[in-house]
Amino acid sequence: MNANARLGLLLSAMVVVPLVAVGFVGWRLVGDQEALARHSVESGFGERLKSLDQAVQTIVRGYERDLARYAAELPRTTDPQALREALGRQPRTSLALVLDRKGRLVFPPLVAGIVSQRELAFLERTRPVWEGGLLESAALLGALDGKASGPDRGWIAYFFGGGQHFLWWFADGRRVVALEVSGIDLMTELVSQLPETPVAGEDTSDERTVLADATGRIVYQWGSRAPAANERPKATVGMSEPLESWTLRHFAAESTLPGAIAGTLRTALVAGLAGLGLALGAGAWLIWRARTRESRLAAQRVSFVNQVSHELKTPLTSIRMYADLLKSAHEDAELDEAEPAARHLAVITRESDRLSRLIKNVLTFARGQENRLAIARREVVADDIVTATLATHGPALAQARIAVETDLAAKASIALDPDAVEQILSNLLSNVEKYARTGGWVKVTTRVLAGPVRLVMRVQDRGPGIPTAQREQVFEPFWRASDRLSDGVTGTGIGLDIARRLARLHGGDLAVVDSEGSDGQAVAGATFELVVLAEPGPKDAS
Amino acid sequence: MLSRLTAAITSVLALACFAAAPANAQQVRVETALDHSVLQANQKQTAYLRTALTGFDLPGERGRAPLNVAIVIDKSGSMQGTKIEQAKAAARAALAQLRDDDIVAIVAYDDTVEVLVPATKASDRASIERGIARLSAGGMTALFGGVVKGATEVRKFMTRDRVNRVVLLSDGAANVGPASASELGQLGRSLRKEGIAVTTIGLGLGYNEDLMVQLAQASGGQHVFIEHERQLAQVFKEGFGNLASIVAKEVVVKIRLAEGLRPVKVLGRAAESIDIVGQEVTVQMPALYARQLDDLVLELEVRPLPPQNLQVATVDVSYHNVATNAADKVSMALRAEFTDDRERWSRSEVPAVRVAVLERVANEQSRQAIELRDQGRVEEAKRLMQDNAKTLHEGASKYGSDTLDKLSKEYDFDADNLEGEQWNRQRKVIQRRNVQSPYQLEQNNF
Repeated sequence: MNANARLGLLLSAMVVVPLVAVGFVGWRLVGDQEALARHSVESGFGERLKSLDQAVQTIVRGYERDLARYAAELPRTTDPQALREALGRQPRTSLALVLDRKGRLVFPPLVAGIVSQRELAFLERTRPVWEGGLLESAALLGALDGKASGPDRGWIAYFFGGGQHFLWWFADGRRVVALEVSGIDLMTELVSQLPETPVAGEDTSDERTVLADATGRIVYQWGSRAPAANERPKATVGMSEPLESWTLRHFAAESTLPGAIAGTLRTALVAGLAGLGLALGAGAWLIWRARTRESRLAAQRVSFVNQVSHELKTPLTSIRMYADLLKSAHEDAELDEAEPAARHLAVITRESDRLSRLIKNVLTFARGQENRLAIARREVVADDIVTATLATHGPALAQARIAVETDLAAKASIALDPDAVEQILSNLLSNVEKYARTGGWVKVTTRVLAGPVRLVMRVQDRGPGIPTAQREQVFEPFWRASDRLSDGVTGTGIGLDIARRLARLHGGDLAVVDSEGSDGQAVAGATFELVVLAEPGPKDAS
Repeated sequence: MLSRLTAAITSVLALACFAAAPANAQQVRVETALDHSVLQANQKQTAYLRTALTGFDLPGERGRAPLNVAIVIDKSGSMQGTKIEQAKAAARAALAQLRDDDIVAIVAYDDTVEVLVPATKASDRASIERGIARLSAGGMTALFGGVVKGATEVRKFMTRDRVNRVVLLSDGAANVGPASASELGQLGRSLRKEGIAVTTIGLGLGYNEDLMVQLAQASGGQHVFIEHERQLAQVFKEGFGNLASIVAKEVVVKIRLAEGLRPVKVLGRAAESIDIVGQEVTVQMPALYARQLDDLVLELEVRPLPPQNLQVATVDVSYHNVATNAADKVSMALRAEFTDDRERWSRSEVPAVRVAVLERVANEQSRQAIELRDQGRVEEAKRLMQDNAKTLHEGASKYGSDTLDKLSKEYDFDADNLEGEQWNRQRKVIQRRNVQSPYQLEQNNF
C-alpha cells in the first residue's frame, strides 16, 4: 500500500469516523429524546387524571361538608319519628345509623311496628357495619369516648346487591351518626360535574377519559375517541378515598408530538451531519492537497525528466563513448593520472555515469508506474555484478570519503537480471553516498543461499540509520526520511521504490533490517537486505 | 309568606263516611273513602281506603308554571335512520309547544354524552333548532350519563315554581355506566328528592321497559311507550302540552290510622314511593295535572272493634301548588261507623272505591303475572290474567263501570299474547299499565 492510499484511507477515516460517531450518538439522543417526550406526554395524561381525581375530591369534600351539617343537625334524640323527619329533609341522604357512645344501635329502631320497611332493608344491608363492629371500632378510634385521639369521621364502603354503597360516619363524643350515601347518588354527583363530550365537530382532541368503579365497570366517560376493545390506556390513575378502588383511565391516539419533535431533531441532525461532513471533507481535501502537492510536483518533475531523459540518453551515450575513447587515448599515451586533463576526464566519466544512472532510474520508474517493468534473467555470477558496480561507484564513494568493505560469497552462477541487480545496488550505494556520508563506511555482503536458490545481498552503512517506524516509508516514492537528513541532498526520491519493485519482480524483496556488528550486536546505521530468487518468479513470465 | 298563609290548612270532619275537601279553585281536590262506608263491628276484616286527588283547572295559558325541561335523546346506533329523524321532529314539536319563558336543554348520548343545547330560554329558538339539527346516531348507550347530564342542565335554572323535568327518549337498553333497573331506580329517587322528575319514552320494541319504568316511577315521572317512531312528534306535542298543565308537584299523601286499624299495603304503587311505619303511611305521588285524577288505595286490616262511630283515619296531602307557587296542604279526617248489622254493611258498599280496588288488585296480579311469565311459567301467568279479566268483567257489570270493562278486555288480550311475537310488545304495554293509573293511561302525560 502506498502512502497516498494510506493517506486517503486516513483522511476518509477522519471524515467517516466522526460522522458515524456523531451520527450514532445523535441518533441515539434523538431516540432518547423521543422516548422522553412520549413519556412526558403520557405522564402529562397521568397528571391530568390526578388533577381530575383532585377535582373529584373537591366534589366529595363538598358532599362531606353537607353530610357533616346533616349529622350535626340531626336531633339529639332516639325518637325515630323526629330523626326520620330530619333525614327526610336532607337531599343527599335519607337513611342513617345512629349509635350511642357504647356503640349500640339506637336508630333505626330494631322494633317491629316502629321500624319502617325501608329502614329494615337498610339495616339488613348494613348489618356487617353496625353488627360487625366496623363502625364501633372506627368510632372508638375517634372521639366517641370524648378523647379526641383519632379521626372522628370517615367513609365506609360496602357492597350490597352487586352495587357499591357508602356510609359517611361522624362521631361527636356522644354518638356516631353514619349517613347512607348511595353509590348511585355519588355517581350522579360526579357525573353531573364531570365534562361531557364536546358536540361533534367542536372536538378534535381524539381522546377519551373513563371513570370506572370498583368492579371495573364504566361509570361515565367522555371524549370523542372510541377506543378499540383491547386498546391500552395511555394513563391509569387510582382514585382517592372513598373511591379508592375506582380508576380513571385516559385513552388517546399515539401522540404525534414526540414523533414530530424527533422528526425535527432528526432533520437538524442530518443537516448538522451534512455540514460536519462537508467541513471534515473540505479539511481532508485540503490536507490531501497539501500532502500530495509535493508528490504531485515530484511526479510532474519525474514525468518531465522522463520525457527529457529520452532526449538526453543519446547525447549522454555519445559523451560517455567519447570520454571512454579519450580515456583510452590517455592511457595509450601513458599520461600521468594526476594531470589536470586526466582528472577532468575522470570527472566527466563519473558525472556522466551518474547522469546515466539517473536517467535509467527515471525511465525505470516511469515504466514501473505504467506497469511495463520487466526483468530479463540470464546466468550470471552476482559477485561480478557487485564488483563492477562498486568499481563504477568507486570514485564517487572515494570522493565522499566512504570506505568500502566487501564480503562477497556469491560466486555461483544463477539466473538473474544483472541490470536490475546492478541498478538496485547502484541505488543503495548512491543513497549511502547521499545520506550516510557521515558514517564514512559501507559494507556489501553477498551470499547465495539454497532452499529456493536466492541471492542475499546486504548493504550496511554507519550513517544516521532509519527509525523502525519509517522502515517501510522509505520505499514510498518521493519520501525522505527527514527533511534535516535530506537538507542539501539532491535526488528524485524514487531510487528505493525502483529497487524494491525490481527485487519483487525477481520474486524477492528489498527491506531495511536491523544493523548488526560482526559480533551480532546491534549497531548504528542502516542495513538494506536484498533477496532475489534465482528461480523464475511469477512476474517473470510476462 | 302570604301565600303560605293563604294556603290554609283545611280540615273537615266528615259526619258520615265520606270526606272531601272543599273544591277551592286553586287547590287540589282530595276525596277519601272506605270501600264500605260502614264497617262491621266485632269482626276482623279487610278494608280499603281510597284517597283520590284531582288537579284544579289552570287559569288559562298565562297561569301555568314555566317549564324547565331537558330532552335527553338516545342517539346510539339503533336509532339510526328514521328513528333519529323522527326524534328530531319530536324535539321540534316539543319546542313548538314551549312558551318563551320556558327553559329547554337538549342532551344526546351514545357511548358518551353531548350537550347539544345547554339549558336555554325557549325564546332562543334558532340556536335550539341548530342543536336539534346536529343530532345523528351511532354508538353505544350511556343512558345513565345522559339522564344525569340532562338533570345537570335542568338544575342550572331550577326553581320551585317551574316544572323541572328530564324527558328521556330511548329505543334500547343501557350498556355504558350503571344500567340495571334498580340502579336507574335509585337515580330516579335521588332526582325526585331534588325535585326533578324523569319522563321516559320507550320507542319501538327494543328498549328495556323495566329500566325505563323504574326510572320514571322512582323519579315521580311518567313512562310512555311509543311503538312506532312516526307517532313520536304527536306524542311529544301532547306530552309537552300536558307538562304545561301540571298544577301540583312534590305531592305527598300521609295517612294516619286509628288504633285497631293496621296498614297492610298500598296497592299498585312502586314500593320506593311508600313508607309504612306503624300506623302511618306516607306515599310520594307523581305530579298532578289539571283536571286529572290520581288516587291511591290502601289495604287495611281492621281488628274486631265494638260498635261505635270512630275517626278511622286522618289524611294529609301536601304539595307544591304550581299556580300559586306556594306549599299547600289539605287535611281531612275520615269517620266510620262500626255496626253489627251485616245487611247494612253490605249495602254500604261504595262503588267508586270498589272499582278502584278491583282495578288495583288486578294491577298487582298483573305484576305477578309478568314475574311468572319472566320465569317462563307461561301457563300460570295466563291463568292469572284470565282470572283478572273474569273478576274485572264481573265487577264491570256489578258496578256498571266502563273502566273495568275496558280493563277486563285488555287482560283478556294479555292472556292471549303472553307468547309468540306479540309478547315483546305486550310486555311493554303491560309494564306501562302496571305503573300508571288508568286515568293517566288515557293521556300521554309527560
